Amino acid sequence: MRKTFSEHWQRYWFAPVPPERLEVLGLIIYAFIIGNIALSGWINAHAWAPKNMYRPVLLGRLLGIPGPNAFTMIAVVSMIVIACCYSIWRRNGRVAPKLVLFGYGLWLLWAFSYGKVDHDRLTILVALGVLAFRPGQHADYGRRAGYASWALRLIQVVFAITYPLSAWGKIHFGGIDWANGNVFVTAILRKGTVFGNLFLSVPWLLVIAQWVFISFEVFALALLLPRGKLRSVALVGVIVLHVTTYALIGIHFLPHLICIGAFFPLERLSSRYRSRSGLRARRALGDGVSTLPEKAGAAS
Amino acid sequence: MLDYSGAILMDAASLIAMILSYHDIREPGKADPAKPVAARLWQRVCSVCALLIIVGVVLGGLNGIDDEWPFAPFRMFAYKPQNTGTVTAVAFRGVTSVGETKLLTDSDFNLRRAEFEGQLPKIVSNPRMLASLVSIYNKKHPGRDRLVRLELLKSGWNVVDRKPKERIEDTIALWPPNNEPGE
Repeated sequence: MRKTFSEHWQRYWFAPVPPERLEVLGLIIYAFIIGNIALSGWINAHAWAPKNMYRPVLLGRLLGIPGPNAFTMIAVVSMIVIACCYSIWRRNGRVAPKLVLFGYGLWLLWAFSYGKVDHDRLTILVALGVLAFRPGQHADYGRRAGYASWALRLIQVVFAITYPLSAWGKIHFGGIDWANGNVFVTAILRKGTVFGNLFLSVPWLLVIAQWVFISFEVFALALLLPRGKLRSVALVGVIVLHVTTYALIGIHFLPHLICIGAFFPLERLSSRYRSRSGLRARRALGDGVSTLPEKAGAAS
Repeated sequence: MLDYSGAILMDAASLIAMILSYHDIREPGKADPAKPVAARLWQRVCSVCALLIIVGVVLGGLNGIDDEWPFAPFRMFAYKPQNTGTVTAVAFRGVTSVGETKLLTDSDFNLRRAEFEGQLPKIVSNPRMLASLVSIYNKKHPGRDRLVRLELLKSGWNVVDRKPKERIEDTIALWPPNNEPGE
Protein backbone atom coordinates (compact mmCIF):
# COMPACT_ATOMS: atom_id res chain seq x y z
CA MET A 1 0.00 0.00 0.00
CA ARG A 2 1.34 3.42 -0.93
CA LYS A 3 2.12 5.60 2.04
CA THR A 4 0.92 9.16 2.23
CA PHE A 5 3.25 12.11 2.83
CA SER A 6 1.99 12.42 6.37
CA GLU A 7 2.81 8.76 7.08
CA HIS A 8 6.34 9.27 5.75
CA TRP A 9 6.67 12.43 7.82
CA GLN A 10 5.41 10.65 10.90
CA ARG A 11 7.84 7.80 10.41
CA TYR A 12 10.82 10.06 9.65
CA TRP A 13 10.34 12.31 12.65
CA PHE A 14 8.40 10.38 15.27
CA ALA A 15 9.10 6.63 14.92
CA PRO A 16 9.93 5.94 18.57
CA VAL A 17 13.53 5.51 19.64
CA PRO A 18 14.66 4.67 23.20
CA PRO A 19 14.58 7.94 25.17
CA GLU A 20 17.92 6.90 26.69
CA ARG A 21 19.54 7.70 23.33
CA LEU A 22 18.71 11.39 23.74
CA GLU A 23 19.56 11.20 27.43
CA VAL A 24 23.07 9.85 26.76
CA LEU A 25 23.63 12.41 24.00
CA GLY A 26 22.62 15.07 26.53
CA LEU A 27 25.20 13.82 29.01
CA ILE A 28 27.91 13.91 26.33
CA ILE A 29 26.92 17.41 25.20
CA TYR A 30 26.71 18.88 28.72
CA ALA A 31 30.10 17.38 29.61
CA PHE A 32 31.51 18.73 26.35
CA ILE A 33 30.21 22.20 27.08
CA ILE A 34 31.99 22.29 30.44
CA GLY A 35 35.25 21.41 28.67
CA ASN A 36 34.47 23.79 25.82
CA ILE A 37 34.00 26.69 28.21
CA ALA A 38 37.16 25.83 30.14
CA LEU A 39 39.23 25.62 26.96
CA SER A 40 37.71 28.57 25.05
CA GLY A 41 39.86 31.20 26.73
CA TRP A 42 39.46 33.49 23.72
CA ILE A 43 35.72 33.84 24.36
CA ASN A 44 36.07 34.46 28.09
CA ALA A 45 38.90 36.95 27.39
CA HIS A 46 36.41 39.23 25.64
CA ALA A 47 35.44 40.48 29.10
CA TRP A 48 38.87 42.19 29.19
CA ALA A 49 39.00 43.22 25.51
CA PRO A 50 38.81 46.88 24.42
CA LYS A 51 35.20 48.04 24.78
CA ASN A 52 35.34 49.93 21.49
CA MET A 53 35.80 46.63 19.63
CA TYR A 54 32.36 45.33 20.74
CA ARG A 55 30.15 45.22 17.67
CA PRO A 56 27.04 43.16 18.53
CA VAL A 57 25.40 41.00 15.87
CA LEU A 58 21.82 41.79 14.85
CA LEU A 59 20.26 39.65 17.60
CA GLY A 60 22.39 41.41 20.22
CA ARG A 61 21.35 44.82 18.89
CA LEU A 62 17.65 43.87 18.79
CA LEU A 63 17.77 42.65 22.39
CA GLY A 64 20.02 45.52 23.50
CA ILE A 65 22.62 43.17 24.97
CA PRO A 66 25.65 45.05 26.32
CA GLY A 67 29.19 43.73 25.92
CA PRO A 68 30.59 41.47 28.63
CA ASN A 69 32.60 42.69 31.58
CA ALA A 70 34.51 40.65 34.14
CA PHE A 71 31.49 40.34 36.44
CA THR A 72 28.90 39.35 33.80
CA MET A 73 31.29 36.95 32.05
CA ILE A 74 32.17 35.13 35.28
CA ALA A 75 28.48 35.04 36.27
CA VAL A 76 27.34 33.58 32.93
CA VAL A 77 30.17 31.07 32.69
CA SER A 78 29.55 29.91 36.29
CA MET A 79 25.84 29.58 35.59
CA ILE A 80 26.49 27.44 32.49
CA VAL A 81 28.94 25.16 34.29
CA ILE A 82 26.70 24.70 37.35
CA ALA A 83 23.61 24.10 35.18
CA CYS A 84 25.56 21.57 33.06
CA CYS A 85 26.74 19.74 36.19
CA TYR A 86 23.18 19.69 37.53
CA SER A 87 21.83 18.41 34.18
CA ILE A 88 24.36 15.58 34.28
CA TRP A 89 23.62 14.75 37.90
CA ARG A 90 19.81 15.03 37.79
CA ARG A 91 18.97 13.85 34.30
CA ASN A 92 15.33 14.91 34.46
CA GLY A 93 16.02 18.50 35.57
CA ARG A 94 13.62 20.98 33.95
CA VAL A 95 15.17 24.39 34.66
CA ALA A 96 18.90 23.63 34.42
CA PRO A 97 18.85 22.62 30.69
CA LYS A 98 17.02 25.86 29.88
CA LEU A 99 19.65 27.84 31.79
CA VAL A 100 22.37 26.08 29.77
CA LEU A 101 20.58 26.99 26.53
CA PHE A 102 20.18 30.61 27.56
CA GLY A 103 23.69 30.96 29.02
CA TYR A 104 25.49 29.24 26.16
CA GLY A 105 23.48 31.26 23.61
CA LEU A 106 24.47 34.51 25.34
CA TRP A 107 28.08 33.37 25.68
CA LEU A 108 28.20 32.65 21.92
CA LEU A 109 26.50 35.92 21.10
CA TRP A 110 29.27 37.73 22.99
CA ALA A 111 31.88 35.55 21.28
CA PHE A 112 30.70 36.54 17.81
CA SER A 113 30.17 40.23 18.50
CA TYR A 114 33.76 41.34 17.98
CA GLY A 115 33.97 41.16 14.19
CA LYS A 116 34.19 37.41 13.54
CA VAL A 117 31.38 34.84 13.46
CA ASP A 118 32.36 31.16 13.63
CA HIS A 119 30.28 28.59 11.82
CA ASP A 120 30.64 25.53 13.98
CA ARG A 121 28.17 26.24 16.80
CA LEU A 122 24.74 26.06 15.23
CA THR A 123 24.21 22.31 15.58
CA ILE A 124 25.15 22.24 19.26
CA LEU A 125 22.85 25.20 19.89
CA VAL A 126 19.97 23.26 18.29
CA ALA A 127 20.94 20.22 20.38
CA LEU A 128 20.80 22.31 23.55
CA GLY A 129 17.42 23.65 22.42
CA VAL A 130 15.84 20.23 21.97
CA LEU A 131 17.40 18.96 25.22
CA ALA A 132 16.00 21.95 27.10
CA PHE A 133 12.41 21.05 26.25
CA ARG A 134 12.41 17.27 26.48
CA PRO A 135 9.54 15.76 28.49
CA GLY A 136 10.39 14.72 32.04
CA GLN A 137 10.46 11.19 33.42
CA HIS A 138 6.82 11.54 34.49
CA ALA A 139 5.66 11.73 30.84
CA ASP A 140 4.45 8.49 29.28
CA TYR A 141 6.97 6.35 27.46
CA GLY A 142 5.38 6.85 24.03
CA ARG A 143 5.77 10.59 24.26
CA ARG A 144 9.36 10.42 25.52
CA ALA A 145 10.26 7.96 22.76
CA GLY A 146 8.56 10.11 20.10
CA TYR A 147 10.19 13.30 21.37
CA ALA A 148 13.61 11.64 21.42
CA SER A 149 13.05 10.59 17.81
CA TRP A 150 12.11 14.12 16.75
CA ALA A 151 14.94 15.74 18.71
CA LEU A 152 17.63 13.42 17.36
CA ARG A 153 16.28 13.79 13.82
CA LEU A 154 16.37 17.57 14.06
CA ILE A 155 19.99 17.49 15.26
CA GLN A 156 20.80 15.12 12.39
CA VAL A 157 19.09 17.30 9.78
CA VAL A 158 20.82 20.51 10.95
CA PHE A 159 24.13 18.64 11.17
CA ALA A 160 23.65 17.34 7.61
CA ILE A 161 22.52 20.50 5.84
CA THR A 162 25.46 22.54 7.08
CA TYR A 163 27.66 20.69 4.57
CA PRO A 164 25.80 21.42 1.31
CA LEU A 165 25.15 24.95 2.60
CA SER A 166 28.86 25.28 3.21
CA ALA A 167 29.50 24.13 -0.39
CA TRP A 168 27.01 26.76 -1.53
CA GLY A 169 28.82 29.39 0.55
CA LYS A 170 32.04 28.62 -1.31
CA ILE A 171 30.37 29.15 -4.69
CA HIS A 172 28.32 32.12 -3.46
CA PHE A 173 31.22 34.04 -1.91
CA GLY A 174 34.15 32.54 -3.82
CA GLY A 175 32.67 32.23 -7.31
CA ILE A 176 31.96 29.30 -9.59
CA ASP A 177 35.71 28.71 -10.03
CA TRP A 178 36.32 28.23 -6.29
CA ALA A 179 37.66 24.69 -6.55
CA ASN A 180 40.31 25.63 -9.12
CA GLY A 181 41.75 28.45 -7.01
CA ASN A 182 44.34 28.67 -4.27
CA VAL A 183 42.02 28.70 -1.27
CA PHE A 184 43.76 25.85 0.56
CA VAL A 185 47.17 27.43 -0.17
CA THR A 186 45.85 30.63 1.44
CA ALA A 187 44.44 28.76 4.43
CA ILE A 188 47.72 26.89 5.01
CA LEU A 189 49.80 30.07 4.63
CA ARG A 190 47.62 31.80 7.21
CA LYS A 191 47.03 28.99 9.71
CA GLY A 192 48.99 25.98 8.47
CA THR A 193 50.30 23.25 10.74
CA VAL A 194 53.67 21.52 10.24
CA PHE A 195 51.79 18.81 8.36
CA GLY A 196 49.88 21.34 6.26
CA ASN A 197 53.03 23.22 5.23
CA LEU A 198 54.32 20.05 3.54
CA PHE A 199 51.60 20.47 0.91
CA LEU A 200 52.58 24.00 -0.13
CA SER A 201 55.11 22.66 -2.61
CA VAL A 202 52.44 20.55 -4.39
CA PRO A 203 49.63 23.02 -5.09
CA TRP A 204 47.99 20.76 -7.69
CA LEU A 205 47.30 18.26 -4.90
CA LEU A 206 45.53 20.98 -2.98
CA VAL A 207 43.37 21.73 -6.04
CA ILE A 208 42.33 18.06 -6.12
CA ALA A 209 41.66 18.30 -2.37
CA GLN A 210 39.41 21.32 -3.00
CA TRP A 211 37.37 19.34 -5.54
CA VAL A 212 37.09 16.38 -3.17
CA PHE A 213 36.16 18.69 -0.29
CA ILE A 214 33.33 20.52 -2.06
CA SER A 215 32.03 17.32 -3.73
CA PHE A 216 31.88 15.57 -0.38
CA GLU A 217 30.02 18.50 1.16
CA VAL A 218 27.28 18.03 -1.44
CA PHE A 219 27.33 14.25 -0.98
CA ALA A 220 26.90 14.74 2.78
CA LEU A 221 23.18 15.27 2.03
CA ALA A 222 23.11 11.46 2.33
CA LEU A 223 23.17 12.05 6.08
CA LEU A 224 19.50 12.96 5.73
CA LEU A 225 18.65 9.36 4.86
CA PRO A 226 17.14 7.49 7.79
CA ARG A 227 19.56 4.57 7.40
CA GLY A 228 21.64 2.65 4.87
CA LYS A 229 25.15 2.34 3.47
CA LEU A 230 25.24 5.76 1.82
CA ARG A 231 24.58 7.35 5.19
CA SER A 232 27.32 5.29 6.83
CA VAL A 233 29.79 6.31 4.10
CA ALA A 234 28.84 9.96 4.67
CA LEU A 235 29.36 9.58 8.43
CA VAL A 236 32.85 8.17 7.93
CA GLY A 237 33.53 10.89 5.35
CA VAL A 238 32.54 13.62 7.81
CA ILE A 239 35.02 12.31 10.38
CA VAL A 240 37.79 12.04 7.74
CA LEU A 241 37.03 15.58 6.53
CA HIS A 242 37.31 17.10 10.00
CA VAL A 243 40.40 15.13 10.99
CA THR A 244 42.10 16.21 7.74
CA THR A 245 41.14 19.86 8.25
CA TYR A 246 42.53 19.73 11.78
CA ALA A 247 45.78 18.15 10.59
CA LEU A 248 46.26 20.74 7.84
CA ILE A 249 45.23 23.99 9.50
CA GLY A 250 44.44 23.18 13.13
CA ILE A 251 40.69 23.99 12.98
CA HIS A 252 38.68 21.26 14.70
CA PHE A 253 34.93 22.10 14.49
CA LEU A 254 34.41 20.01 17.64
CA PRO A 255 31.24 21.78 18.88
CA HIS A 256 29.60 20.74 15.60
CA LEU A 257 31.26 17.34 15.34
CA ILE A 258 30.24 16.23 18.85
CA CYS A 259 26.63 16.26 17.60
CA ILE A 260 27.47 13.33 15.31
CA GLY A 261 26.47 11.30 18.39
CA ALA A 262 22.85 11.84 17.29
CA PHE A 263 23.45 9.26 14.52
CA PHE A 264 24.49 6.41 16.82
CA PRO A 265 22.61 4.03 19.16
CA LEU A 266 23.99 5.69 22.27
CA GLU A 267 21.33 4.07 24.47
CA ARG A 268 23.64 1.04 24.64
CA LEU A 269 25.78 3.10 27.00
CA SER A 270 22.83 3.54 29.36
CA SER A 271 22.62 1.05 32.24
CA ARG A 272 18.91 1.82 32.60
CA TYR A 273 18.33 0.88 28.96
CA ARG A 274 20.44 -2.26 29.24
CA SER A 275 18.56 -3.46 32.30
CA ARG A 276 15.22 -2.67 30.62
CA SER A 277 16.12 -4.46 27.38
CA GLY A 278 17.48 -7.37 29.43
CA LEU A 279 14.09 -7.54 31.08
CA ARG A 280 12.39 -7.58 27.68
CA ALA A 281 14.64 -10.35 26.46
CA ARG A 282 13.88 -12.46 29.54
CA ARG A 283 10.19 -11.79 29.05
CA ALA A 284 10.43 -12.94 25.43
CA LEU A 285 11.96 -16.18 26.68
CA GLY A 286 8.89 -16.62 28.85
CA ASP A 287 10.48 -16.60 32.27
CA GLY A 288 7.46 -15.00 33.86
CA VAL A 289 8.61 -11.42 34.11
CA SER A 290 5.54 -9.16 34.11
CA THR A 291 4.73 -6.95 31.12
CA LEU A 292 6.13 -3.42 31.28
CA PRO A 293 3.89 -0.45 30.47
CA GLU A 294 6.44 0.93 28.00
CA LYS A 295 6.40 -2.20 25.88
CA ALA A 296 4.46 -0.59 23.04
CA GLY A 297 6.95 2.20 22.43
CA ALA A 298 10.21 0.37 22.92
CA ALA A 299 10.93 -0.31 19.27
CA SER A 300 14.17 0.51 17.46
CA MET B 1 16.63 38.95 7.55
CA LEU B 2 13.63 40.29 5.62
CA ASP B 3 14.20 37.63 2.97
CA TYR B 4 12.95 34.87 5.20
CA SER B 5 10.62 36.70 7.50
CA GLY B 6 7.89 35.94 4.90
CA ALA B 7 8.62 32.23 5.13
CA ILE B 8 8.60 32.38 8.91
CA LEU B 9 5.23 34.14 8.83
CA MET B 10 3.88 31.42 6.54
CA ASP B 11 5.07 28.76 8.95
CA ALA B 12 3.55 30.63 11.86
CA ALA B 13 0.30 30.77 9.88
CA SER B 14 0.44 27.04 9.24
CA LEU B 15 1.00 26.45 12.96
CA ILE B 16 -2.11 28.46 13.74
CA ALA B 17 -4.02 26.58 11.01
CA MET B 18 -2.91 23.26 12.50
CA ILE B 19 -4.05 24.26 15.95
CA LEU B 20 -7.36 25.53 14.57
CA SER B 21 -7.91 22.24 12.73
CA TYR B 22 -7.26 20.37 15.94
CA HIS B 23 -10.94 19.46 16.42
CA ASP B 24 -10.88 17.40 13.19
CA ILE B 25 -8.99 14.56 14.73
CA ARG B 26 -11.44 14.42 17.63
CA GLU B 27 -14.33 13.57 15.34
CA PRO B 28 -15.68 10.08 16.06
CA GLY B 29 -14.19 7.49 13.78
CA LYS B 30 -11.30 9.66 12.63
CA ALA B 31 -9.10 9.50 15.69
CA ASP B 32 -6.41 6.86 15.73
CA PRO B 33 -6.88 4.97 19.01
CA ALA B 34 -3.16 4.16 19.13
CA LYS B 35 -2.32 7.87 19.20
CA PRO B 36 -3.99 9.95 21.91
CA VAL B 37 -5.19 13.38 20.79
CA ALA B 38 -2.73 15.16 23.09
CA ALA B 39 0.12 13.26 21.45
CA ARG B 40 -0.88 14.56 18.03
CA LEU B 41 -0.80 18.20 19.15
CA TRP B 42 2.73 18.09 20.52
CA GLN B 43 3.86 16.33 17.38
CA ARG B 44 2.41 19.13 15.30
CA VAL B 45 4.08 21.77 17.42
CA CYS B 46 7.39 19.89 17.13
CA SER B 47 6.94 19.57 13.36
CA VAL B 48 6.41 23.30 12.96
CA CYS B 49 9.38 24.12 15.22
CA ALA B 50 11.56 21.80 13.12
CA LEU B 51 10.35 23.47 9.92
CA LEU B 52 11.01 26.95 11.30
CA ILE B 53 14.55 26.04 12.35
CA ILE B 54 15.35 24.28 9.07
CA VAL B 55 13.90 27.12 6.97
CA GLY B 56 15.93 29.64 9.01
CA VAL B 57 19.15 27.64 8.62
CA VAL B 58 18.63 27.09 4.88
CA LEU B 59 17.69 30.69 4.07
CA GLY B 60 20.51 32.04 6.27
CA GLY B 61 22.91 29.64 4.58
CA LEU B 62 21.75 30.52 1.06
CA ASN B 63 21.54 34.28 1.28
CA GLY B 64 22.30 35.47 4.80
CA ILE B 65 25.15 37.48 6.26
CA ASP B 66 27.24 36.92 9.40
CA ASP B 67 25.34 39.66 11.21
CA GLU B 68 22.22 37.44 11.18
CA TRP B 69 23.79 34.79 13.44
CA PRO B 70 22.62 32.17 14.42
CA PHE B 71 21.07 31.98 10.95
CA ALA B 72 24.30 32.98 9.25
CA PRO B 73 25.96 31.56 6.11
CA PHE B 74 28.52 28.76 6.45
CA ARG B 75 31.68 30.47 5.26
CA MET B 76 34.35 27.86 5.82
CA PHE B 77 37.04 28.64 3.17
CA ALA B 78 34.42 30.71 1.36
CA TYR B 79 36.40 33.46 -0.33
CA LYS B 80 37.53 34.38 -3.81
CA PRO B 81 40.58 32.41 -4.86
CA GLN B 82 43.51 34.25 -6.43
CA ASN B 83 46.12 32.04 -8.01
CA THR B 84 48.48 35.01 -8.18
CA GLY B 85 48.37 37.79 -5.62
CA THR B 86 49.01 38.34 -1.94
CA VAL B 87 48.01 36.26 1.08
CA THR B 88 48.25 38.29 4.27
CA ALA B 89 47.24 38.20 7.91
CA VAL B 90 47.23 40.91 10.56
CA ALA B 91 50.26 41.01 12.88
CA PHE B 92 51.38 43.30 15.70
CA ARG B 93 54.75 44.87 16.47
CA GLY B 94 55.34 46.84 19.62
CA VAL B 95 58.11 48.96 21.06
CA THR B 96 58.63 48.90 24.83
CA SER B 97 59.75 51.72 27.15
CA VAL B 98 63.34 50.40 27.01
CA GLY B 99 63.34 50.53 23.22
CA GLU B 100 62.92 46.81 22.62
CA THR B 101 60.97 45.89 19.50
CA LYS B 102 58.92 42.72 19.68
CA LEU B 103 56.24 40.87 17.77
CA LEU B 104 53.02 40.50 19.77
CA THR B 105 50.13 38.08 19.41
CA ASP B 106 46.39 38.66 19.21
CA SER B 107 45.87 37.11 22.66
CA ASP B 108 48.04 39.88 24.15
CA PHE B 109 44.99 42.11 23.52
CA ASN B 110 42.29 39.56 24.52
CA LEU B 111 41.03 39.35 20.95
CA ARG B 112 41.47 37.03 17.98
CA ARG B 113 43.35 37.89 14.80
CA ALA B 114 40.20 37.35 12.73
CA GLU B 115 38.37 39.86 14.93
CA PHE B 116 40.93 42.53 14.09
CA GLU B 117 40.63 41.59 10.43
CA GLY B 118 36.84 41.80 10.65
CA GLN B 119 37.07 45.40 11.92
CA LEU B 120 40.13 46.52 9.97
CA PRO B 121 38.58 49.52 8.16
CA LYS B 122 37.36 50.89 11.51
CA ILE B 123 40.84 50.58 13.07
CA VAL B 124 42.73 51.93 10.07
CA SER B 125 40.47 54.98 9.82
CA ASN B 126 40.83 55.60 13.56
CA PRO B 127 44.35 54.58 14.71
CA ARG B 128 43.50 56.01 18.14
CA MET B 129 41.85 52.59 18.74
CA LEU B 130 45.37 51.20 19.00
CA ALA B 131 45.81 53.31 22.14
CA SER B 132 43.25 51.14 23.93
CA LEU B 133 45.13 48.05 22.75
CA VAL B 134 48.35 49.45 24.24
CA SER B 135 46.52 50.08 27.49
CA ILE B 136 45.06 46.52 27.50
CA TYR B 137 48.54 45.07 26.91
CA ASN B 138 50.07 47.06 29.76
CA LYS B 139 47.28 46.02 32.14
CA LYS B 140 47.60 42.38 31.13
CA HIS B 141 51.38 42.25 31.52
CA PRO B 142 52.17 44.39 34.57
CA GLY B 143 55.53 42.67 35.09
CA ARG B 144 56.87 43.44 31.62
CA ASP B 145 58.33 46.66 30.21
CA ARG B 146 55.54 49.02 29.25
CA LEU B 147 54.47 49.14 25.63
CA VAL B 148 54.82 52.65 24.22
CA ARG B 149 54.28 52.12 20.52
CA LEU B 150 52.13 49.71 18.54
CA GLU B 151 52.18 48.98 14.84
CA LEU B 152 49.43 47.03 13.06
CA LEU B 153 50.90 45.11 10.13
CA LYS B 154 49.69 43.13 7.19
CA SER B 155 52.21 40.40 6.87
CA GLY B 156 52.27 37.46 4.47
CA TRP B 157 53.35 36.18 1.10
CA ASN B 158 53.34 37.06 -2.56
CA VAL B 159 51.84 34.06 -4.30
CA VAL B 160 52.54 33.30 -7.96
CA ASP B 161 50.60 30.54 -9.65
CA ARG B 162 49.52 29.07 -6.29
CA LYS B 163 53.10 28.99 -4.94
CA PRO B 164 54.37 31.32 -2.19
CA LYS B 165 57.37 33.29 -3.54
CA GLU B 166 58.44 36.08 -1.19
CA ARG B 167 57.46 37.49 2.20
CA ILE B 168 55.76 40.88 2.36
CA GLU B 169 54.96 43.27 5.20
CA ASP B 170 53.07 46.53 5.29
CA THR B 171 52.25 48.88 8.19
CA ILE B 172 48.56 49.76 8.09
CA ALA B 173 48.12 51.62 11.39
CA LEU B 174 50.47 53.09 13.96
CA TRP B 175 50.07 54.49 17.46
CA PRO B 176 51.15 57.05 18.43
CA PRO B 177 51.54 58.63 15.00
CA ASN B 178 55.18 59.36 14.04
CA ASN B 179 55.17 62.96 15.26
CA GLU B 180 53.60 62.29 18.67
CA PRO B 181 55.26 60.96 21.82
CA GLY B 182 54.30 57.49 23.10
CA GLU B 183 52.25 56.62 26.14
